[in-house]
Formats: sequence, C-alpha cells, structure tokens
Amino acid sequence: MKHKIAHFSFASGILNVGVVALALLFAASLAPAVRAQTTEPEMYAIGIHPHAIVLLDGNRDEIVGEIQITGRSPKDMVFSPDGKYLFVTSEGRSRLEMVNVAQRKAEKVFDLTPAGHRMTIFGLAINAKGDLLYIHVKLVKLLADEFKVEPPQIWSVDVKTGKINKIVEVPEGVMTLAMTTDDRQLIAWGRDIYYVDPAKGRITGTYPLMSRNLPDKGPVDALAAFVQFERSGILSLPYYTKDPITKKDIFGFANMDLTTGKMDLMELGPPVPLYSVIVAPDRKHAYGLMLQLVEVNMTERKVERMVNLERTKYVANISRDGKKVYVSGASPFIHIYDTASMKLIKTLNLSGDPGVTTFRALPPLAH
Amino acid sequence: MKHVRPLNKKARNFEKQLEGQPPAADPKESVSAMQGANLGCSLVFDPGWETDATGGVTGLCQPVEADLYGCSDDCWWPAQVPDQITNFPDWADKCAAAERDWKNLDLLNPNKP
Repeated sequence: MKHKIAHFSFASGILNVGVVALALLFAASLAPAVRAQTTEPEMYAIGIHPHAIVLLDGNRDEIVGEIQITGRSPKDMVFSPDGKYLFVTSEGRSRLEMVNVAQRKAEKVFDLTPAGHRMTIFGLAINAKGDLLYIHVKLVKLLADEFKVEPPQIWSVDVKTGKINKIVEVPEGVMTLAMTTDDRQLIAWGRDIYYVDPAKGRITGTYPLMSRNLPDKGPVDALAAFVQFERSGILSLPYYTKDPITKKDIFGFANMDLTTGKMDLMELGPPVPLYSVIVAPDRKHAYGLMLQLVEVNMTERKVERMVNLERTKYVANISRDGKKVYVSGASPFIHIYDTASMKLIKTLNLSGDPGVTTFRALPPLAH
Repeated sequence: MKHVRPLNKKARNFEKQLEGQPPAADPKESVSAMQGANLGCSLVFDPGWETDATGGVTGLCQPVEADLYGCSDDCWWPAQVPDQITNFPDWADKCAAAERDWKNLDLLNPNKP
C-alpha cells in the first residue's frame, strides 16, 4: 500500500493527494474488519462472587463482559461447542443455568431438584453435539426425622427440553466430569476414575487412585476441583502420594488424555503444593499453580522452572498459541504470564473474588 | 435416659456410642472425607486454615483473605468459616472481594435463629 501511495503522489498534484487521503481513510476503515476475519476469537470465562461471570478477551487481554447470573457463587462451567452458551452451576451447586454469551444474560434455569430433596451438582460436562449435558448429582431426601443420603448419580439433561435421564449410580467422591472427544466415554473423577458409557448406562472401567494399594505405590490423592482441558485435550491434576517403601512424599501430574481415555501418572519428585494444572496446546509443557507457577516439561517429565506468584491462585488457562498463561482464583485479579520468560506481563482487576470456580476457554471452532 | 428410646438408625448408633460400642460399620453411613463429597458439611479440624502441615503459615494461601471463598465455598472449612452450601448461603453477599470488602462481611451466631 505504501508503495502505491508513493506512486500516486509522484504521478500528479492536489487531486491525487485527495485520492490518496480517501484511499488511506478507506484502508483504515477496512483494517479492523480484515483483522477480525483473520484472528480467531479467544474468549475465557470465570465465575466471581457474589453472582457473576466475567468474560475475558484473550486477543486484547481485556475484560469484555460481566454477566449477572441468578444464583450465587458460580462453580462448574462449560461452553457449548458453538460457543454461544455457557452452562454453569450456582447457588451452592444446586442450580444449573444457561447463559447466553452474546446477549450477556442468564437465559434459562433448569429445574432439576426432585420434590422433597436437596441436590448438589459436582461435575458438569457436555457432549460434542451440544444437545446433552451430563451432571453428577448428590441427592439428600428430606424426611421428617432425618436426612437420607441417596447414592450419587450421573444424569443427562436435554439442553432444549430440560428432560432428565438417569445414566448410572457412581461411588461417593466424584467431583468432576469430562467427555472424551469421541463422545463414547464420560470420565467421572473422584476418589478413583470411573469410565462411564452413557449409551449403555454403566461403569465400564475404573482407574484406581485412592484405592491404589500396591507394595511399591501408595494411594493417589488428587483434588478434582479446578479442571480445564479445552486447549490440549488433556485433563491434568496435581496429585500427591507417599512411596510405601521409602516413605517419601511425592507429587506429580495425573494426566487424562480425553482423545484416547488413557491415564498417565507423571511423577515429578518432592511435593510442591499446587491447586491445578493447565496443559499447553502442543502438550509439551504444563503449568501448575498455587503459591508458585511451576512449568513442567511433559516430554522429559520433569519440573523445568518455578516462579513465585503475586498471590495464591487456584486456576489457570492458556492462550491458543501457548504463549500466555492466565492465572486467577482466590483474589479479584487475573494475572497474565508470558510462558517464554515466566514473567507477569499484565494484571486485570475483577469486581469480585473467583472462589472455587473453573476458568474455561471458548472451544476451538466456536465463533 | 432410660425413658428415652431411639426411633431411627441414627439414634440407635448414637446410643451405642454413648455405651462405648462402635456405631454400625456400614460404609454408606460414613461421612465422606474432603474429596469434594459432602452432604452439607462435615466437621474437619485439620490444619490448613490456621497453620499449614508443618505448623507454620508459609504454606497457607497468601494473603489469607484471598482464600476466604475457597474455604467457605463447598464447605471446605466449616469449623472456621461459614459454609455456603447448607447453613449460611448469603453471609458474604455484600463482600464481593474479601481483601477489599472484608468490613462488609456479616458476623454470624449459629445459636441464633
């Protein structure tokens, strides 16, 4: 363009200057539209107190929306595959809401609690088509003289009609759900990992964690509260265990590959307290956080770098290109770190604290 | 106590405990630990709020106010902070950010109706 303008300026006098000015104005008005077509949308959502969801634009690293929902303390969240809706549990995990992202409002509350019961939802997943949600529910029947705890269950919820279908009962302790990318298995992560076939309505396999009791390997303790795996397809959690022979405490990353359903316990050495992990899109690095941001080389299976965080953080997500890690939770900020230098590059203020909430990214193909 | 008799399983277990006998060993009756499974609240007095596992404070969340909702959400530390699942859902409605708005937190007396 610069070359053409120069050519126009030399060609003749004032008339061509006016044409050049018009051309520049036209180019300026065109540039943002061109930029929008070539830059993929990069949106993130995190819940904050007392009852809102914050939207972060990862292209500009700015807060672009704060959506008030009907219930308190947003917890589990999943985007619909097309990115148009965000499903979130709230109000002490008793409520499931559907939020319209573009209109910035809670559009629907699913009425799920059976009469005479109290219900809490621990774990939320959505299928690839986006028409079925899966929730893990804990029901308590409110009898006249006692609260009767019913077996935990996994339900499907039809997004359009709200119809509930009981899939299977699961053992106590499940905290999170995730769907494998082929939609064939629902991963229920609790004290152990349960593979659920939603079509057949049964548990088809178990990967022992807390029930692991081998002569050379102790139980695996992992906190499945903060899960995000959209970028890499790997649901990774920090885990802690004790070597039964040496009696040494050990930590590592428990990595569930949602494209294959395979688990990998990656032992990393003496414990570093961590709340959550985010795996980079290229799966070569992962970042754990709590009081430090810990970079792990997934290929060499070792801790590479560690930096102190500004304050405790619960949860993180990562940009599509893997160059920025967004850390949040536990105080009203989102801190953005450059993964190459592990330095803090930007701080965004929030109007409320993110408590025990997930930090989700818009699905890759969503617009 | 001789004029009082248990009417349900929970009361019978309670009476057994008073008599020094172990309660019914049914795994389904046990209160779940802190792996996110709770009926409302469980009573846990583990260190982790006042002190870390070594008895110090360096392993705690920093600053301590930042961890307030991490501890009250889902009833993680019900002995130390009010729980939001069962008993005190709106106790922090006026305190969006604990570090900044802690003066707006309600004081709670569990014994008052």
